[in-house]
Amino acid sequence: MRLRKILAGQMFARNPLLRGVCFLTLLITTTISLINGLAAGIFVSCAAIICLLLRWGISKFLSEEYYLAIYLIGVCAIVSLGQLAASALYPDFASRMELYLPITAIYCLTDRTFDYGTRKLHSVLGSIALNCLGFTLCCAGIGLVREFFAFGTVLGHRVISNYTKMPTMVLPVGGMITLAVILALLNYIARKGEKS
Amino acid sequence: MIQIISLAITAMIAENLLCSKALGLEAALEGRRNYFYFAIFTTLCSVLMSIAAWAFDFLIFSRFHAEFLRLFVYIPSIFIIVHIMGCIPKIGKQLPKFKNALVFNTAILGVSVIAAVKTYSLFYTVLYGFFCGIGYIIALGMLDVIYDKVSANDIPISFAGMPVKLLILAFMSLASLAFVGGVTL
Repeated sequence: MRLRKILAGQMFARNPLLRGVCFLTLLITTTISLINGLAAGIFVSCAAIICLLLRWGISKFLSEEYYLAIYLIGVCAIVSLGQLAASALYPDFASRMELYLPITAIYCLTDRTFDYGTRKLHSVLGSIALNCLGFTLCCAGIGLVREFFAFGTVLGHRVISNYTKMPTMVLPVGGMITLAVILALLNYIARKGEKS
Repeated sequence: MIQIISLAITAMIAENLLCSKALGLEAALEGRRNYFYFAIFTTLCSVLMSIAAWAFDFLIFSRFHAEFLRLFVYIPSIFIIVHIMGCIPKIGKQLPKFKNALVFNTAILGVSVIAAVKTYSLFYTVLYGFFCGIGYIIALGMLDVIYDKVSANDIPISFAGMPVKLLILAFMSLASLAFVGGVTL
């Protein structure tokens, strides 16, 4: 029961990525299908984790005046490399997200990406892993919902025959509405949990 | 003149950073701020960044096919421009309040990337940056005004706060779609 609470809390309810603190633009714009949602979740999670490890690494060896400059260049390098890798592996996804993938760098520069919980290394890594897993699952979930409502398909397979397409669901409007409903649902579940 | 009006409508409404591209959402959802100074800083930052993006793209990136280096220039440029804006007499004193909202605002980086991708001349790039900044501020103000009106009514507790703001933004985004035209799949 306790484990389930911790998992639900770290993955969804207390996850800073899903409380509108961070990565919101990416969450709304990139999740237009299940595959795109998964790709976006994995891209952002990898970039954010590598940037965090870089920050830990350089903060131990560098004084504060050099730290920010080196970290800034490091984040830009990580995100640019990620973008190049994405355009080599998934050119369709990368060209569609040309505007939004660079934005990951701005988010990685803020210190609001993860909920560390404690300062112990194993729990920090655990929290980050759960945060990222929750974010990726949420991206995939939003992608699934949007793909279903937009095209009537899941993973490209038609689920409903003669489905009337809803083009607005692939636009940011669809992402905003889906995210709003998901957040309201999370709020409702959290309030129910508190009452019980 | 017609071209300038068309550019203004495109940048401010049809391709509004907040409504149609969902850029700068975090700053929008944070809520209250002094709009006058925030508008000045955002517009100034957006204009200066679009000039910087145009210059770097025209002089370096497109000539040497080095578009993958854009981030290395744009993000430090944002930091430098925001720092320089702090030195402007009279309004510079107000900058520390908005520093984070400007430096970590995805809308500013978004304007630079869009300005680099679009092949406008320098004059039109400056105008595009200016109208983008103005459009972003107008959308931000509208969001807060509508949110105040909506939250004065009885809304379900689960929807209070961010979900309602996102729904309002979704409807504003739908309204801006009218200027884009039909959506085809």
